[in-house]
Amino acid sequence: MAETRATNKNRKRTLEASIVIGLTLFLIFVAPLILSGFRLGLLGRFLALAIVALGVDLIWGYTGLLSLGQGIFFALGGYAFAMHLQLNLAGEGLPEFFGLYGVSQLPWFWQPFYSLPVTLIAIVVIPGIVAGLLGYLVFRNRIRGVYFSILTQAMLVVFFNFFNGQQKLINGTNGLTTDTTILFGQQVGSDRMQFAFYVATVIVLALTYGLCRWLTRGRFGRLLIAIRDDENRLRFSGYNPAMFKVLVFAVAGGIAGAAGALYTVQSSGITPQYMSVAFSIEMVIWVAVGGRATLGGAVLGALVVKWAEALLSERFPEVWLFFQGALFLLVVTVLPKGIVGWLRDDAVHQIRDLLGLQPQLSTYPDLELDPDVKREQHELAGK
Amino acid sequence: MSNKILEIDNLTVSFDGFKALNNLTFSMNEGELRVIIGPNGAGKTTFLDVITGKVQPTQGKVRFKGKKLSGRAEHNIAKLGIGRKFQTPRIYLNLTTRENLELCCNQTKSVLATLLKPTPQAELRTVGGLIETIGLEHKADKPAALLSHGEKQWLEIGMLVAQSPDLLLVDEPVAGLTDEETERTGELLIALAESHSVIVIEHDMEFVRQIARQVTVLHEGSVLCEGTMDEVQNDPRVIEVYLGTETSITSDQMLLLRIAATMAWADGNFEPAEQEIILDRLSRQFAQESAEQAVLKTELKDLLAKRIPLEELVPQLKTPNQREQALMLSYEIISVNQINQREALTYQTLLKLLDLPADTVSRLENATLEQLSNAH
Amino acid sequence: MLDGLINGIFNGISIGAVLLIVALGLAIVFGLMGVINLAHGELMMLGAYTTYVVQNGFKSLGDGMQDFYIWLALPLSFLVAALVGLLLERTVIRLLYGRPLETLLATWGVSLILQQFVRSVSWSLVFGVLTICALLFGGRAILNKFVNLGPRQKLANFLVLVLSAAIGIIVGRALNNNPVLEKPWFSARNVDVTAPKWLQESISVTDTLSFPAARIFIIALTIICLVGTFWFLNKSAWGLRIRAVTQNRDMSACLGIPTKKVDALTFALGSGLAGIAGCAVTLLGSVGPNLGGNYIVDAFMVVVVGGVGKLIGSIVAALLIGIVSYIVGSGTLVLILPSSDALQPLIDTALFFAETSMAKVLVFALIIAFLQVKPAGLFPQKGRSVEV
Repeated sequence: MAETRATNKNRKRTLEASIVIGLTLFLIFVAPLILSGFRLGLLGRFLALAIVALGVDLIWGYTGLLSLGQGIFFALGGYAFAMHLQLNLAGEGLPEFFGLYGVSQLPWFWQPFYSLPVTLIAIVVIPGIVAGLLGYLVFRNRIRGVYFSILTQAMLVVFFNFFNGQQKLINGTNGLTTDTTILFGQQVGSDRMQFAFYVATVIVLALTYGLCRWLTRGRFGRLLIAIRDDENRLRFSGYNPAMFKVLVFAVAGGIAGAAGALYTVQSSGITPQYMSVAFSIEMVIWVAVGGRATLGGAVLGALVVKWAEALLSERFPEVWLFFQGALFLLVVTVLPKGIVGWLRDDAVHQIRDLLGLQPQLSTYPDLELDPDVKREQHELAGK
Repeated sequence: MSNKILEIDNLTVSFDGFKALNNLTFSMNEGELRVIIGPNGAGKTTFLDVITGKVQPTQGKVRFKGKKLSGRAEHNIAKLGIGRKFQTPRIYLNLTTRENLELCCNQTKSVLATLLKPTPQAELRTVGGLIETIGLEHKADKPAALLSHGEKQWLEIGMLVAQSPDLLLVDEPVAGLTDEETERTGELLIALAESHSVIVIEHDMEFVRQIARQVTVLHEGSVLCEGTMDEVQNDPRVIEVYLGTETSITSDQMLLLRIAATMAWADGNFEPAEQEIILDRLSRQFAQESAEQAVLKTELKDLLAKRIPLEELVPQLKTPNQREQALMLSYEIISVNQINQREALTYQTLLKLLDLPADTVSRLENATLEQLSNAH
Repeated sequence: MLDGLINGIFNGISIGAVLLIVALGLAIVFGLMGVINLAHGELMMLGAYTTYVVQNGFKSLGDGMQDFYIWLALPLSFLVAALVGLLLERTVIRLLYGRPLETLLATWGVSLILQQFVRSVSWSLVFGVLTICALLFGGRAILNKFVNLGPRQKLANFLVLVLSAAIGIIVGRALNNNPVLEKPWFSARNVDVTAPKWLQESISVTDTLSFPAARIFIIALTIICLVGTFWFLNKSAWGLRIRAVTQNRDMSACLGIPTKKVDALTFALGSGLAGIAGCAVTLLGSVGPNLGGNYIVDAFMVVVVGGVGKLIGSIVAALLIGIVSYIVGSGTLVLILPSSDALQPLIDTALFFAETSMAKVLVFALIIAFLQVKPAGLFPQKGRSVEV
């Protein structure tokens, strides 16, 4: 029995891997042929957001930590990349906006971003470290549940105010533009570069998916679910949930950072608005719509919601907020498992129910295997 | 003296002035199975909370294998080798039975080891064995949320074992279980006690009797008394805290009462007439005035429900006089109505145990009969 | 310099009072019911818009009346917010008790809807929504009462939902052709409420020190609300029921307390207080659809710092946060520090934070530091039952 279980698992894994690779290849080679340049740009951005969604799913769907502050890490990644691009453009001098505020010396924290490798590492590592640190401060004190959510939201407001207020350090409200900047001798806003970033996004998404699957697959993944189920019980089994939470929160932060960088370069720049309260909560709804604790659901949710937003707000701009609000309500009341969870568990049953067909009989799991039933059957047969 | 696995010194825990534990001193040897009983609010669960680090003591020390526990976090205490089962089963509902056990079986509990190391074969085998032990083979790969209450209790005990601690703290393992399940749980705990030290907290006295060798009674946050089940059950202070009223009888008189009650239960049917005799005789014997007698009678009624094997009770009788009293009382009880076979058998056992000379027995029996006919 | 300090403390207290009046409703809903209401800010906004409407009404009555609008606006904004809160509890929150994270998301959805609602509310929208409701509930009532479709009933109900939504949207769109019906009531722009004359003045204490009447009014209003809430919760029969339900819902239900009514009442009370807060903040600035968002996070901080479920905690926390924010943000700290070379780095730091938004950064950082010491807030609940 143990062997069949193992082969089943292996088969499932191979299937999943081939689907992911297939979709990746499709997105890289086929999608550009079907979609117009504008739509492809949109898709690229949405895929970048799907990366954050994977991080949110990791911490919320699996571990039960509802962070309303993923925007911090998203924006930190974006800022890191944008700073490098700005420095690239300025060459020997200072980025242009510093002149507006009479700053003549580059602030110290800009220095490392001259180097591309350092920047690329920083895009993931800085948000990761910030997330780990903030997480440590919160989890150490056993602040959980909604308190954690509220605190992450407060942190988001702190970071927003900071970036919004510091014109002399980081150009405040205006943010940093990237589309006019230059990377590898090409303008970032050019079609070729945008396509390169699109491909990069698809690859990073696939890699992130792999990372999340690896994290949630084995014993570590089960531990994350155990944290969601009953964190305090875990302490009495000898685990320190705080450290696990710190790690997984840091990983999600790093993922958000990478996503933020990719999103920034595909949408002409970054502003503190990336750290608005609404945007961070929106990230949660993508996961909820797709189906929490299913990685495919997170990606699907981000794409579906953003695509719907793009379609709706093109035609009826004022309807979108109504729709989004309704989505929040629907997803917690009617569709708590999200699209993927619904399709997996309830869809057939509910549609049959709606159409008034005979409900399928649900039986006790493995009734035949129940020892009491077995004994009774045995006794009956004996008579 | 054998090694102490747990020593607790003058422990006090107060919540905003309310003392949940009050100067509690307790110790326990390695390999012992100890049952802790006590009325509601006696501080039993707080006692476990302190040992496992969930609650920090206001005063006093807890030592486990000679190491001080205060100031350590729960998970560190668990790593030292203390496992705990909670009052209501706490298992991970979204994991399967197997995964629940596997999680607890993991011996290296650091973050990186959990992430990077695959589950060793040995642990997988342990888990497989445990699933058989707790009888959940057919539900091994079902989410634990689908288990029944009893199965959850068992799974949690299994998780405790998987953790392979040196000291198991088991909080009300049979709450809400059927008699059959209770008995199996008892057997499991006794089996566990062969290789572990175990503390069990329980309310179900039948169950306590099944498993207990040493019993500690907690009351209002401190140890009221300690001893074997019989010593404890016959201790007037224990009776007092359990029944709320102070009984005026001594432990010797208690013993007589128990023997009589066991005789009355011999045919599995405790008739009111028999009950009346016991109460009447005892109250007449131990209280002079009729008012006192009436009070004593109502007090003792609650105690009659207990049935304890004679083999345990009789050897505790000290003087020949007490033995004679026990004989007379028992004979009177069974003679109230037609003596049936079972009663006769039990009576023979009693005689053998009392080991009185034959002529004394016949003298006493006659005296009893005479008394009975006089009363009529 | 003493004047500066007193002024600073007064302004701090008045900021604290605003925070407190906002947080009061939140403290009730969150502290007693465990519901995270992210739409609290939007209920405030509804109160503010109610005040705006009432004020316009009084304006049209004639010159003299303008100064008295606030006495009607206060109870009306309480009522409007409480009614919307009641509706919210009946339809959404009720389904989500015991699932705080889900409540958080649902109320966020409600807050988005409310924001967009005040932006685009017009007669055509109202008629459209009314059409949907009438068709939906009417259709369902008819279906359930007179037609028996057996197993297809659900499908029929679903179709009624789809049809009535479609008809409602078509009606709304058709009405949009009429410019009067189509015109939004408030539009997305901010509107201004003119405070009554007697609240626009300042009360001078000494020659150099004067306090704006509006701020004193808000402080007084906060105190009244506090006392009222305290009395209601601790002395009235319904208050007792509310406390009973919050402590043990099942037991209370067994004792015959109508827990559903109590839930609805508690939520409506909290929402109503948000309405009053909304009315109060119209005295301080303009009113817009985003009004709530400016306060909600701060209000939650007040509740968290104070310790959940304790009114006294919220009071202390609100005052502390208010005073620290003002003293840091206004640069009073810079003025107080004596200028010497040794303290120069300190002064530089103080200057760095001497700005409203940067003061927020510092205050929140302090809050996180504070929670390291007292994770359960200023006045934590104790005992075995706290953590299950």
